[in-house]
Amino acid sequence: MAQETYDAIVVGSGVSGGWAAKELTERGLKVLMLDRGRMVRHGEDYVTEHKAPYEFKFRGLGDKRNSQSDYPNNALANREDTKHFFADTKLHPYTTPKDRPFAWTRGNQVGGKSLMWSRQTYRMAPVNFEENAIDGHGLDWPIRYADIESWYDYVEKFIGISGTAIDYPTAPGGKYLQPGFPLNPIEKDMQARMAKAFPDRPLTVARMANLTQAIGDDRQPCHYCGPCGRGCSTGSYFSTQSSTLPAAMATQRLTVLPDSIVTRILTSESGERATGVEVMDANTREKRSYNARIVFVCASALESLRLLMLSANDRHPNGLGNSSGLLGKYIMDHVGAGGAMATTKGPQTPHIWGGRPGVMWIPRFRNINGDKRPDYLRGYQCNGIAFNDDWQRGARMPGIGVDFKNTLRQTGGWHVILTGSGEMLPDIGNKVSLDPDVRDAWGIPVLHIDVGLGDNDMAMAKGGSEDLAEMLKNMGYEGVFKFPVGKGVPGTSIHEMGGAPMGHDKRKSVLDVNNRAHDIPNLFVTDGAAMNSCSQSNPSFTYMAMTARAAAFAAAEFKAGRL
Amino acid sequence: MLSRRTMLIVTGGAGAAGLVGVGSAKAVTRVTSTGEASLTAQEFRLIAAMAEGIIPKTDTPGAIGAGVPEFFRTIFNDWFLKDEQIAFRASLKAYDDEAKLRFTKTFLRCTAAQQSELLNDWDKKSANMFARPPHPFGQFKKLTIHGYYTSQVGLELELKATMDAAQNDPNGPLIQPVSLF
Repeated sequence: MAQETYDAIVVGSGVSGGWAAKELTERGLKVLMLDRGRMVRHGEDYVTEHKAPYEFKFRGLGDKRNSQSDYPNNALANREDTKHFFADTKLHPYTTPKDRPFAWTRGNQVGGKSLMWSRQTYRMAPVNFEENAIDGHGLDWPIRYADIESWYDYVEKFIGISGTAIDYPTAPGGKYLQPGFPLNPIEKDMQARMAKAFPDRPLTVARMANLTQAIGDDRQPCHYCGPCGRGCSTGSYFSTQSSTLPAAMATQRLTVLPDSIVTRILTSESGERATGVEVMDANTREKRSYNARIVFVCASALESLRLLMLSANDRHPNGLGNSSGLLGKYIMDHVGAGGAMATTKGPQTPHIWGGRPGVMWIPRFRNINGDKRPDYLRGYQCNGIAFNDDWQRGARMPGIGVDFKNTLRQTGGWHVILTGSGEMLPDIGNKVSLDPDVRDAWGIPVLHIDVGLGDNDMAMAKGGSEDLAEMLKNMGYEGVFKFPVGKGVPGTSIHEMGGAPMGHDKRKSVLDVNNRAHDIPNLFVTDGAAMNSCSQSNPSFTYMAMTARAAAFAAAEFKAGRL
Repeated sequence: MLSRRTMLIVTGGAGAAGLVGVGSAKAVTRVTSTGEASLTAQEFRLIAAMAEGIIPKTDTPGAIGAGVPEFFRTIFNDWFLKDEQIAFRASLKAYDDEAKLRFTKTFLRCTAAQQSELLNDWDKKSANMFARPPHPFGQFKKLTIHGYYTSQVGLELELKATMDAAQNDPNGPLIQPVSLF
C-alpha cells in the first residue's frame, strides 16, 4: 500500500469536517480531508439548481421504480431534484430490530449533509449544558455554555446567520446576526396575536444560515429561488463548498480526496496513538494508507461511531476509544413534538415560484422561567408557517371544467401551522453496534441501530401537540386541527447524534473536554457523535463551534510538540 | 392574440402537444420495463379527452395543449409499478364500459355534454374519501392537475408564476412549503 504523511487527517467533509479542515489549515497544519463520496464542485455540480418543474421527467413525483430507500426516510431522498445528494440505502444498508425502526439519512459526497441541511442555526442554551447533571439523565457535559460561547460567536461571524437577537433564556447569542428574513403579513399578524396571548413566548423569524447580506464577493444574499436543497451557486447558504472549503483551500495546505472510504483508523503498536487511516478507493476498491500526527473523525455521528468500531484491534478490542464501554451508547435524535393547524384570512397573492428560506421560530418555553411540567422533563422549540393554498388544492376540491380551472387560477385560503421539535432524553439503551452478518456494497460491516423513543419523549410529543393547538385557539384562529401523535420513528429529524460522550472521567466517557479520545490523545471526534444531550435546538451550529474549538486546541498542541 | 412568448410556450415548451393535439397517439405500442404493454392509441385518446374535460382550453391552453396526455404516458410507461399499470388500464376500460352502458357508445364518441356528465359523476364518486377501494377517477384527476400545473403552459401562461414573484411580491416573501412541485 502506498503511504503519504500529513500533519492531520480529517475524515468527512460536512459541516464538521469542513470546519476542521479550515481551522487546522489556517493554523498552519498540512491537512488531508477524505470523503467516501464523489466530489461536488460548487455551482457547476448543482445540476438541478434552477430547473423548472417541467424539466423533470416525473415533475417532482420521484422515480418510483428506482427508490433509493427501503427504510422509513426523508422524502427528499427520492426526489428527482435532490436524490443525487442522498445515499442510496441499497448500497449503504443498516439494520434495526423489527420493532424499533430508525430513519437514517446520509449525504455521501464532498460537502456531506451541508448541501442538504435545512439551515436553522441555533445555539444550545446554558440550561442545555446543565440538565443532564440536574435531572440525572445522560452523562454530564464536561463543558458549560461559557466554555463554548466565544466559539459560537466565531462561527456565527464566519458562516453568516440571519435572524433576530432576543433576550430569552433558550435563545442566546446573536452578536453577529444579519437582519432576519421579513415575515409576510399573515406571519406578522400571527406574531402580534402571539405577543398578546402569550407574551412570555416570543415568536420571530427562524435563525438561518442563509444570507440577507453579502459576505465578500462569493457569497451573495438569498434570491428566493426556493429549493435550497439543490445546492446554491450564489453561496447564499452555508455549506462546506460555499464557505469552509474555499477558506481551507486558500491556505494551499489542504488536499481533498473524494471517493475514499476510510475503512479503519490505524494506531501505533502500543495502541496509544493514531498513526493514520486505511482507505479503500470507492471505485477501484484498491486500498492505500495515509499517515498523520492527528486524526479528526467527522464522518457524521453514526458513521463516525461505525469507523471507531471498525478500527478495533488487539489494543482496542471493542473499538477505538472504548475503554469505558460507552462507545455507541446514548444515541439521540429530536422528537417530533406534535403540531397543529388552523385557518385564517389573507389577501390574494400572485402564484410564486420559489420562496423564502426558513420558517418562524418560538424558542423553548417549557421547563424554564419557572414553568414546570408534571408530565415530562426538558422541552421543545416550535416552528411555524403561514401559507395559502395553491393549485395542489385542486386534487382535494370537487369540480371539473372551466369554473374549476378558473378557481385554481387564484390562490386559495390561508393557513397557519405550528410544529414542535423536542429534546430526546439521553438513554443508555439507545445504541448502535456493528451487525455481524450484514455488509455494505464494499463488503464493510454495517451498523445495527437499536434506538427507540422513551416515555418522556412520548409525553413531550403529546404535551406539545396539546400546547400548540391551545396556542392557536388562544390566538383566535378558527378551524384548529391538532395533528395526531404517532409512535414516531427516531432519525426522522436527521439530527442523529451521541454515542461518543464527552466527560472528565475516562471510565465514564469516550472523549475528553477537548473532544479527543481519552484512550488515544491524538484522535478527535467533533461531529454529532460527541453530543451528551441533544437540547431542543437544531444541532449543526454546535457541531461547528465544537469542531472549531477542538481544532484550535489540537493545532496549539501540535505546535507545542505534544501531539 | 398570442404573444411571441406565449406562442413559443404553446408550440415548443409543451413538447409541441398544443399543435399536434392527440396525434401522437399513433406512437408505436411498446413493452414497458415492467412487462406491461404501453398505452394503446385508443387509451391515449381516452386519457386526452378525459384530461381536457377536467382542464379545458379557455383563454389559455387546456390539458392537451399543456402536454398532459404525454405526461400520463410517461407516468404509465416509466413510473407506475406493474400492479398500478394493470389497475390504471382496467380503470380506462371501466370508464368506457360505463359510457357504453349509459350512452351506448364509447367515451370518445359521446357528446361533450355526455362526457361532462360522466366526468362529473366520477368526480362526485371519487370525492368519497372513505370508499375502499377509492374510485380511480381521484387518481386520474390528481395526475391531470399535477401534469397541467407543473407544465410550462400551466405555470407560466395559466398561473403566470415566475421566479421573480417571490422576490417582488408586495405582500412580502412567502414561504412556499411545497417548493416547486
